Amino acid sequence: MRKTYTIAYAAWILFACAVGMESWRLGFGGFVRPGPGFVPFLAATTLGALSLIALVKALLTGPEKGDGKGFRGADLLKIFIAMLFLFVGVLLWNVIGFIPATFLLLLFLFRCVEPLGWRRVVVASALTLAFTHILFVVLLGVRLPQGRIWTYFMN
Amino acid sequence: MDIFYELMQGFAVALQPTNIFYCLLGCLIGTLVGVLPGLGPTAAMSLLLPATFHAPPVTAIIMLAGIYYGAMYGGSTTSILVNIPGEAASVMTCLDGYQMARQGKAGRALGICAFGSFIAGTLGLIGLTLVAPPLAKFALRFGPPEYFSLMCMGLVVLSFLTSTSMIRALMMACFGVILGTVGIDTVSGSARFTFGFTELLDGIGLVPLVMGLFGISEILVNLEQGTEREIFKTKVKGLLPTLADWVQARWALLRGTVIGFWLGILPGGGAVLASFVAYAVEKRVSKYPEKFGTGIIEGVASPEAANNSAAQAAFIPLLTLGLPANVVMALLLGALILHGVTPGPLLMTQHPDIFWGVIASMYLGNIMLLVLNLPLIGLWVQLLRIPYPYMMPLIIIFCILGSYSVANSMADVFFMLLFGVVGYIMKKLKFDSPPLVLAFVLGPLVEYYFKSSLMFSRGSFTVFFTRPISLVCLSITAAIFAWSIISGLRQKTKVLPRET
Repeated sequence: MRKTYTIAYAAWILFACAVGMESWRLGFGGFVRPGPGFVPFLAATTLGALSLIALVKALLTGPEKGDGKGFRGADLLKIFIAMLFLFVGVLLWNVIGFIPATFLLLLFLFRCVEPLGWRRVVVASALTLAFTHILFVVLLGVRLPQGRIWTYFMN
Repeated sequence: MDIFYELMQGFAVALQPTNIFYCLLGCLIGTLVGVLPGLGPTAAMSLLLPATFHAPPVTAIIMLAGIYYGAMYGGSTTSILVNIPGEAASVMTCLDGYQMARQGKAGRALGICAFGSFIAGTLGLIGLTLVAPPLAKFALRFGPPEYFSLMCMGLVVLSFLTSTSMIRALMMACFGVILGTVGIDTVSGSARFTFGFTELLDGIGLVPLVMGLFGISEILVNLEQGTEREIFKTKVKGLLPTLADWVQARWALLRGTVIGFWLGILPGGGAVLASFVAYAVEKRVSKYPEKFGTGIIEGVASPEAANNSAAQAAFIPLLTLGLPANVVMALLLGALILHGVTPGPLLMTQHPDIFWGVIASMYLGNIMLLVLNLPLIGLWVQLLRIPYPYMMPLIIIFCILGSYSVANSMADVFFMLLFGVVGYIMKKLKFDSPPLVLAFVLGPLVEYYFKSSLMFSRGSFTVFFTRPISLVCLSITAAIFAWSIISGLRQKTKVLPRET
């Protein structure tokens, strides 16, 4: 766990440095007339300092009582696949439209993430889609993407 | 007697059949959006705002206000049953509410939430009715230095209450402030951290951030653990709190109400800050602070009372000063302006029907919510009792659509998914999300008040120490820091002898 936290705190330090440099570029200004980078710079400096303290502490004292358990490779792969499908599913909204894209995404979620039988998967996907469509589109009037592909064929 | 007479006039307006119907509708929609993860009162009010244009101003505001305080009631249900806050003000309810549910005490947690919300909401309303003018005058004494110091105090108090690490909590607060600065700087007009993306010019939305950090990350953690966990295997029973529950929660309810009321009045405070601070205070004054987070009734009663009381109190600066205390009040301000009504000191005299009609409708709404919510809890439980393999995709789609519906923006959905991954990593490494969210909400205000104070004092930091209210807030902040360091050192000195 010490290694995970060392990497995490080092990443925070890098992030703080990047934000600090960008804030400086935006303009620190002065105390009388603070610039747009004034507050982000102060926040980044504080974040960097705190991360450095935490890093030194982690290196010197090792894992603490409240530390997390870290990551497992198999879990990360599962999370990566799920997130990939979510991103692709949402990207498909603009291409094939909300209804088909969400139906495909739901099929994946019900079937692959949670191994249910195909009949249940299809019924659950259809019901979930119908419920969300009625609530968001019919009752709340949300305008969801129709999909460029259908517009192309219609024209 | 004038106030009583005016309030009766308000009831005459609120009790008109149309207004009763819209009040009921607002309360129901509010509870629904509060219960359903992925859709908050801000999104629902934004979506329904155009629908109110055909109604009279008082009717429109009665319904929109109903959505707001209805969501405060409903938000706790999902926090307790699914560990996903229905809206941001219910974040703290997750900590003990969900633990109570896991211990088979979901009914008691939901019951104390409903009654606590009603009591706090009604007390908050009485406060609003009786002391609105003098309180508004007092809040007028607050200048930028006072607001800055108060908000700093809120952030530090919140970081202090986190059960893991003060350093990590403060790191998250800094991260939240940085995220809050993304977009156009209101003072200079320059774009910050947008990297050429036009979608970032308006900043990162609160809804995608919260839904990602709390909704999607929860799903991801559950993906790891498999689907053995179901939301409920036992019946939710005993919705009426026992006498022992009342005795145990009575001071927490009262303290939460008072804290919520005062913080609700202050711009930038609102229900979110109120629930955080109330929880922190309750933990501090408790005889058994170590039990907080393990499922104790005070940990549910206090933040729920605070957010409901704050929700009512937030109307004070809006109705008397025309100053929105939070984003929902800003939406209400917009709605009033769209209806040709300018909120401010003259609202009470120029539009007493709106001022007192809305207040009277809130008394009715609180009663409606209590009467409706206790029987409806069974319905929400039935909905949420659907096995997790069926619930998970629904929650994901709700989060996605909830994020999208705020501004019909695909970018918001991607931000939400991105924050889902960030939230997952944070959960795994025990970085706390609440300080991040609070800092994100308060960040732009902190920046504005900080800059204004420095400009006002011509670059002198003494402005924060020479004004009494600001000095008190900063002293409390410093005391918390000192206490945190001292208690950390004490723990070490206690541990060291054992190791040697």
